[in-house]
Amino acid sequence: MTDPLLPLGAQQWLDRLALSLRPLPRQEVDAILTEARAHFLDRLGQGQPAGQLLDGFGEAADYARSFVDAYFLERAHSRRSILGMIQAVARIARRSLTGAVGFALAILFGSLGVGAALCLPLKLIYPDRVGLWLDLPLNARHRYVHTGAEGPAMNIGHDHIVVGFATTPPAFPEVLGGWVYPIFIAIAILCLLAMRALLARTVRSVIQEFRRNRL
Amino acid sequence: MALLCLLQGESQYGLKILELLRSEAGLNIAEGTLYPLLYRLEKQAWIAAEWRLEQAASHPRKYYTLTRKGQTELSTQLRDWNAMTRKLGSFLKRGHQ
Repeated sequence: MTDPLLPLGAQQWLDRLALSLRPLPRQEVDAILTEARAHFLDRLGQGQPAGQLLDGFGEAADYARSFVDAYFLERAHSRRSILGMIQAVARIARRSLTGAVGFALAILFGSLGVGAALCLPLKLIYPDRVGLWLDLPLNARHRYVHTGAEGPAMNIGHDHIVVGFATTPPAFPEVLGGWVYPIFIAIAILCLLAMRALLARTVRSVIQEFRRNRL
Repeated sequence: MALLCLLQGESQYGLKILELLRSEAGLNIAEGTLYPLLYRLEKQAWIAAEWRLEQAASHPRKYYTLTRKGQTELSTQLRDWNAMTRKLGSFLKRGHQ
């Protein structure tokens, strides 16, 4: 929409800003745009040349990113939902080392937790293929000969320790038996709790990082 | 801290805050830094905002005020700042003696 009070450059900048602010709720976008427009009008009223209006604002996409990051981080911090925190940390991971490390560790723990949880129904369907296989002693030379093609990576270890789901059960003994259920439930819960705690810690650290840098 | 201090006792809008920070605090911060910072402080509930349409202005302006939570935060930051400058001051004085 054309704004007769603003020069073309400022209008185009506001249009690009509106596009980059799309992840935010409509009300927030309107407030940010209205405030920037008010700033431009005030500057024009003070006699600032139209060509210098955008000085200090930078690229519309970079300016928008500050708002979008802050919105998702603060929302994740206040609501503490796992999905919200993953979304916020994933957004910030490319620009913050703390965010990147936190995101990688959270994904690692999350994958382990989900893997352990998935093993439970698989144990009911394929009782012989889920468990913990140990080929002792662990420091012995490679002895395990793969008897079949490797399946999806839902097991850890190939030589002396195999845990989780094995497409082809190893030739050495399974040691957990019925304890698979409580142990895998415990692993799933602990991993998901660890992921949640890591995400919350990462969100808190990134917010503090922001405060230190900008206040 | 300077921004919270500026909003203590008086509401201000973005451009005015920018000008006051530049002229009175000597902080040459850019528009692209100030507005996202105000947004974050508002989200943290350290400041509150309201739109006002004044008679002299042709458009509404967003005015920011320090909240009670912001006042507490400012007191903490001021205490830390004063303690740090006091320590650093004594250290620098010792270096000259």
